[in-house]
Amino acid sequence: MTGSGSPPLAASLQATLLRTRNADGGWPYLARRQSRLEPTVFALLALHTAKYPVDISPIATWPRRDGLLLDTHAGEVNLAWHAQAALVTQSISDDRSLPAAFVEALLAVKGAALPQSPALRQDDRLQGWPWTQGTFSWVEPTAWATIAVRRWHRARPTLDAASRVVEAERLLLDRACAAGGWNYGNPAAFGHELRAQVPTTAIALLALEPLRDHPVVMRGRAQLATRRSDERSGLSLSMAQIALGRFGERHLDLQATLEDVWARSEFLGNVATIALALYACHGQADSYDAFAS
Amino acid sequence: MRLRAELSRRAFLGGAAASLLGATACQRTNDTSGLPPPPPSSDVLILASANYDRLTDIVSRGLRELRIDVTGRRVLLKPNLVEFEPASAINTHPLLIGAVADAVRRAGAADVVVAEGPGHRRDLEYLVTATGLADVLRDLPVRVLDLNLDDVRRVPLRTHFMGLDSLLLPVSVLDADIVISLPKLKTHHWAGMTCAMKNLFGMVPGAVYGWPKNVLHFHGIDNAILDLTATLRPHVTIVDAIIAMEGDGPIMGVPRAAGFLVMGRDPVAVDATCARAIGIEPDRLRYLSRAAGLLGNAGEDRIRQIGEPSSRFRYAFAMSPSMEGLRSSGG
Repeated sequence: MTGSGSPPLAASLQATLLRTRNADGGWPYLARRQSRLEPTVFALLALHTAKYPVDISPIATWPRRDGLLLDTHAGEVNLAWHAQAALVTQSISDDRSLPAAFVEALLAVKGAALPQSPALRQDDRLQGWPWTQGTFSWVEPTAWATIAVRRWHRARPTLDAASRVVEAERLLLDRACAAGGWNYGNPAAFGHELRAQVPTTAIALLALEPLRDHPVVMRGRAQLATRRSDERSGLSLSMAQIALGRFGERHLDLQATLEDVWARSEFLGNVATIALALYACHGQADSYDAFAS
Repeated sequence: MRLRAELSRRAFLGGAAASLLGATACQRTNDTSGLPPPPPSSDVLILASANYDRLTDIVSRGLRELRIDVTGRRVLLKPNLVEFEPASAINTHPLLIGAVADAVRRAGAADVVVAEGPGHRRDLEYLVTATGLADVLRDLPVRVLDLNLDDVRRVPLRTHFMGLDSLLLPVSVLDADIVISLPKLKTHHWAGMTCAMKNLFGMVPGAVYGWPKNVLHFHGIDNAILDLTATLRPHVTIVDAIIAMEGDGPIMGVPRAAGFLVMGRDPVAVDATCARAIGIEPDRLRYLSRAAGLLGNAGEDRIRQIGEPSSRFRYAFAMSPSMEGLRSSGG
């Protein structure tokens, strides 16, 4: 089902994905390990986009606590992975009750608000989404959650969802690095400007795509375009290709570099990255619509 | 001054305490009475090396002196890989990691894995490539494992300074026969110093707890260091202090040529020795002062120092302004 015309990289990635699927229908981060939420969600998205028939029942039956998907069957809730599921099921599931329930659970969680720290420039009163419940908001979970909530509520607007998205956008804009782009979520500390990272810049840009004319977003986009190949890894190259693709930029060198990195490292066997790389190959056809809001 | 720094750190990375937890743990009081007492004394070996050339022989000598037998064992090496900046001293040097991998293979280890779970970056592949570690390991029969992504098992904590009952931790660490921790010696603007004990943060899985591993900071960085040291005690620590970091560590500091390695089974004794070497009074590091006598030995009278004389390596590292109070008298 690879499809004639698929590039060799995509065929190789897809074969690896199919080979690493567990008997329970989910995917592990690393082959022959337990199924985890993030690689499962991205594998389903990548295969679906590659026109491979996928069965999303592993997500539908994935264990939850208070409506939130657990990372592992006996584990914890990781809000970033839950948000990815809330987003991706909007594209790949015919059962609308799934993303509805996931987004609703997401809206019930908020990062902690903190008093201003003298060591930091950012506004810690802003509340987005944390990695784990009850802790502070960070860039990646806030970005995934923003896209998921905004996309779901585009056709069903509510005041609650709208206000959460607005505050999350403010948080992401506030956490941008001075030179452009984003890292995990501290743009400066003790008076030192910290550097942006490619994957988090890409994810934040996806979340802020509707604000594409905002100066902070434009600076981040320029940063990503300039540094798109600086971090030679499957994750960085795939996310750069996807985010820049959403902004209408196509950089042929990214795909070539991705192919080279895959040949050298096989992305250290990271199945979530392999899935994102496959999505980077095939999602171009519809401008990576699964990550649009 | 230090209290202010600790509070700032909590605000920085986690803030208002007790709302957290979920199923990670129930709040509980700390009870350390079940811990085995530290040994009467701990051996700490100091080895000189002005550069990163020909370290395999030096490491092999250290393993012999400390009687670390890796024959037929599965060995896990845990370096400190944080972030990449050219010409910086943020990470354990790849040549030291390669030398240790080579030394344990030569000593008969059945399997060697280099395993790390960076706390700020989820992209280990990038770090391994950018730092040159991938090139160093290319010809060695060694695997690289991302501890952030490994399978996890719930482990009861052996102390409860954080107020947590348990954490989910990587099975590869828990199931290794021998864990060798390879920290970089650096000043640290929140904890004062990062070395043997703080290096264990990289064993906490990001795929469960996020980047940064906010659950650790949320409950107090010193408390997290103590609980992890009590629970995830490596079999031996080899500190990279050939080129260390001073100033605004652990990322924004500057390289400082110090010219030594420190090896030992007791991470508390290793940290105390390293603190003295860079001009920090161990009693003034909160986590080390609390660990002394509980999780290991920190007093000079309870450390049997072997190898090079410690007096050969005495420095006064530059520190963040908030950490100046840690200095030894005359340091």
